[in-house]
Amino acid sequence: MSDSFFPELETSIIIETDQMRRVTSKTMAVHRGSALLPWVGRSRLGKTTTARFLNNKINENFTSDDPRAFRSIHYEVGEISSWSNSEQKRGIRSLFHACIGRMDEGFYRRSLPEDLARELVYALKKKRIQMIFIDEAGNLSIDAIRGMVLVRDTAELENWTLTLVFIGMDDLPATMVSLPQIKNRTDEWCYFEPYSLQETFELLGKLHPHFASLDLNKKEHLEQVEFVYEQFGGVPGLLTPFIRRLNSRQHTELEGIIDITGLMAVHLSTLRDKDKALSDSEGGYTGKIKNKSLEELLKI
Amino acid sequence: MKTNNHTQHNQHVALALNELLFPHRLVFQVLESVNEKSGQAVLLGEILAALTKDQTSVLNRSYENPLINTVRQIITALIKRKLVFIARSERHRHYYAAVSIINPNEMPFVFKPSYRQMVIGLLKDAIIYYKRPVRIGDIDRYLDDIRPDLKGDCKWFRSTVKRLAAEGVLKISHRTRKDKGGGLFYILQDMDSNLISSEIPQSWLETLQLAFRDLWEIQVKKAKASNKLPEPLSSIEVKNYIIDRYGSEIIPHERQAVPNSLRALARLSSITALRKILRPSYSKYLYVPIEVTDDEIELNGSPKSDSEKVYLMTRMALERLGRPVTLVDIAEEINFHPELQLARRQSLSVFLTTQIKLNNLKKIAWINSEWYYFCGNEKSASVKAYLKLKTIEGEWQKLDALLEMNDLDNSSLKTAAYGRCLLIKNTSENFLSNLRVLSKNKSVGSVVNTEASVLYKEVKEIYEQAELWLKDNPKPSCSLPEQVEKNIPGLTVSELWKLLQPLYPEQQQVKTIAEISNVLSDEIRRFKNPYHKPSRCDGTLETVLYLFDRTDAFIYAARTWGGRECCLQAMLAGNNLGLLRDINFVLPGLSSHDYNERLIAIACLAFLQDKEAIDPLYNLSLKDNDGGVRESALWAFAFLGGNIKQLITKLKMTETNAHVLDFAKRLENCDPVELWFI
Repeated sequence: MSDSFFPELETSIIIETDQMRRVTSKTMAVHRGSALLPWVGRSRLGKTTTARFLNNKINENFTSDDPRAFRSIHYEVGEISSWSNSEQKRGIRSLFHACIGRMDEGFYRRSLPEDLARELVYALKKKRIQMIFIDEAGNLSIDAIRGMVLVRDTAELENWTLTLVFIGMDDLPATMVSLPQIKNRTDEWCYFEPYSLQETFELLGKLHPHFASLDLNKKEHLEQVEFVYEQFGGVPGLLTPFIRRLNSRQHTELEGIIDITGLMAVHLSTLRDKDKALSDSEGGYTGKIKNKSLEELLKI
Repeated sequence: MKTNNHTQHNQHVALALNELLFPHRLVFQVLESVNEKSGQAVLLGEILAALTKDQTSVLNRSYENPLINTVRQIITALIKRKLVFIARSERHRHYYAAVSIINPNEMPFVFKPSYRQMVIGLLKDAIIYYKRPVRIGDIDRYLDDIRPDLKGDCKWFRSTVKRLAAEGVLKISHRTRKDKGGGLFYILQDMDSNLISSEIPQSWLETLQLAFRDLWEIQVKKAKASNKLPEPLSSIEVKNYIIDRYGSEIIPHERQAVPNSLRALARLSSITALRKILRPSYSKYLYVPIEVTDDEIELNGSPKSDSEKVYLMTRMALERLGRPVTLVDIAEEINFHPELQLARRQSLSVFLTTQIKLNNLKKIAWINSEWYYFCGNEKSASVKAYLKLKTIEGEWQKLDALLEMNDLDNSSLKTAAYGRCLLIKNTSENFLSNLRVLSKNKSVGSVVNTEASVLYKEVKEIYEQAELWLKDNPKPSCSLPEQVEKNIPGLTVSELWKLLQPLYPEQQQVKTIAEISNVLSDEIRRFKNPYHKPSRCDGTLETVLYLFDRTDAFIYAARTWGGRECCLQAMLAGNNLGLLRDINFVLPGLSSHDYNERLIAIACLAFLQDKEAIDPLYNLSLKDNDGGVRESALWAFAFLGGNIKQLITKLKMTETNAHVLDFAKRLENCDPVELWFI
């Protein structure tokens, strides 16, 4: 395997953090009330990972004998823009595709939104799905969200618990509060924040053995963690690519020694390339060398 | 002197009036008033019209005779008494005047010409103007264009003209085809013949003949200018020329006036002026002057009609492509030859039908909902090979193998996906071998070879994709067979109707079973009946050429009219079965660890309608650990015709899930039709 030109295979692992635990407990707390739940926060703060974590946990713990047990679905939604016709139906179809499979086109066209919702709820009951994580929900128009809320309401009418978790950034919060019917049904809000220095240190420790061996009481060690924290602002989605880069250079450029200089070298090599690329693109880089004036040549 | 005479005259009238009886005096007074009003002598009718109701009743009471006779007798008496005189007589019609109003000696007024005279004058003027005998329509036109001032006065001239002709004042010069202008040409009996020009055409046929001659001269000149022989003229060209020259009103209003008249000019022995020519590709006659021989004309000239243009396009398409052509191929020719743009917006097939009737073209095959046209020997090896290739291509397209391949990864039931891929691989292998056999034949021609190689590449690509997929996705279960069953269970139209009848909400509107076939052929897959024996179709399996895919029909009906459970299972089956109809690739799904796969397998088995699945479903509905799966298995078991009552009896002993028990109760008393609505 080591002779392969391609990078080593990675098994994806999810590290449970405090934030994930907090969001999970908040979500499960309101579940029995068929909650509508926005999970909001800036990019790369771990919303999708938390959803995957919770989804896995729910499905792993499901046993058909336990009457309280339920299944969940996590999927990424595509764009349903405003004024794009039949947004409610498209919203319901999106849920149907995620939970059941492709919806027959004729059935979709023939049926009213409430019929589609009833059919979907029937299938959800059969599959015992009670929680749906709708990722990238910022792509949804208000009407598409209303269609999804219609499914939740239909489920409630048919004595079925259904929690819809809308995960997103963009204008998702503003969209959800813009309509009283949705705003007043939103039982709980979960906001994802960047990690603190301590949390970042704990996460780094779980991601890389070098950080696990550090002691924050030592100044040199603290410097390293502070450097990473300052550069990536406690955003877990940015930390993991850095650790991946560090891993790849640890035994080549750094010769197995990781210290503050090594960390800076790994980070700055990326940053330098990025800065160059940006300055070129801002200067109208076309791939050709510009004809320099005599003054410019003299300066050189 | 005049004044003295008039005074004496008035005194005489006054004396005479005193001696008159009351009814006589009454008529005299009426006559006086009418004379005064009109300023001239009047007819008896005018006097009668001027009588009031009271005066009429007085006269009727006084005399037993009819009123007209009474008045006439009174007037005669008054004439004898010299109170009234006849101012003018015209063909037994007298104009009366009262002496007290109009002096018989002086006659100071001028008589207006009578209506009859006016009409005669009008006719005369029109004949002089047109320099030929005139028809009613000509007089009408003359009134409109030349004498609009007379139009009001001569409102009823038509009947007068007819009466004058009957009396012999007018004579009929000749007759022609009747149109809105009339068919008779009138001339005055005593008219000077010098006033009529012999050069001006008098009848429609003469006009047509003259126009044809003129147009032919133009045609000859044009041809000479371009060093060609003149082309014969079509009736449309002649018609357009007449309209340009004389206006459209000259053409009689009957249908096909110009073509019929041209034919008459070529046929009538008395006036044979034209010769008709029939061109093979033109359904109508072309005409040339009688004296022009075939050597002096160009017989194969430019197309005269849309139908001929389409024929030309077809010939060119056949030449260009070197194979039988479709409507699309023919239509494409317009891009190469814009001058062949059709004048009318009509389907090409209409014109092609005309050419087929003329035996210029043949419809040789109906493949993929398209007719193939050809002229020449359709039994030649290259044509046969081309049609074979198109049939293979059509069957390949119907499979939609690329879509099926792309859909494999969406299929949640791995065993079914494996079977589907195997089916695609085997089917494409068959297609490849068929194409190889076709290409081996050396007499098929280059066109077939080229098209066959394109199709071969396409099929080969799918075959390779399928092979790669099978390599990447190893057999999901060791119980799967090596080969996939290709037979498709089918339904005849009547069997399909029997299935749909209880579900189809618009059954009242369906009058024939064939209607169902038309309505549903787009919705439900049809395939060629492998058991078909050519004979008269009586609805039995052997005589039906096409069958409906049974599974597709069940899925369609369930999606369209089914209840929630039925519809859900139909959607799951539809999404996962694709073209697969082999139960052996679905059954292993029942023992999958994934509840979702088990649900899909159940749905697929329900719609494959194979009785072999009854026992596995029976076991699953009792033993599966997921309630939802047990529910689905129960419905599928019942839908397949299993003994649901027996199953439920057993289920009640073991089942603890209240939902499943409720569901089982719903199924317990359902008949087969009610199962659709669960």
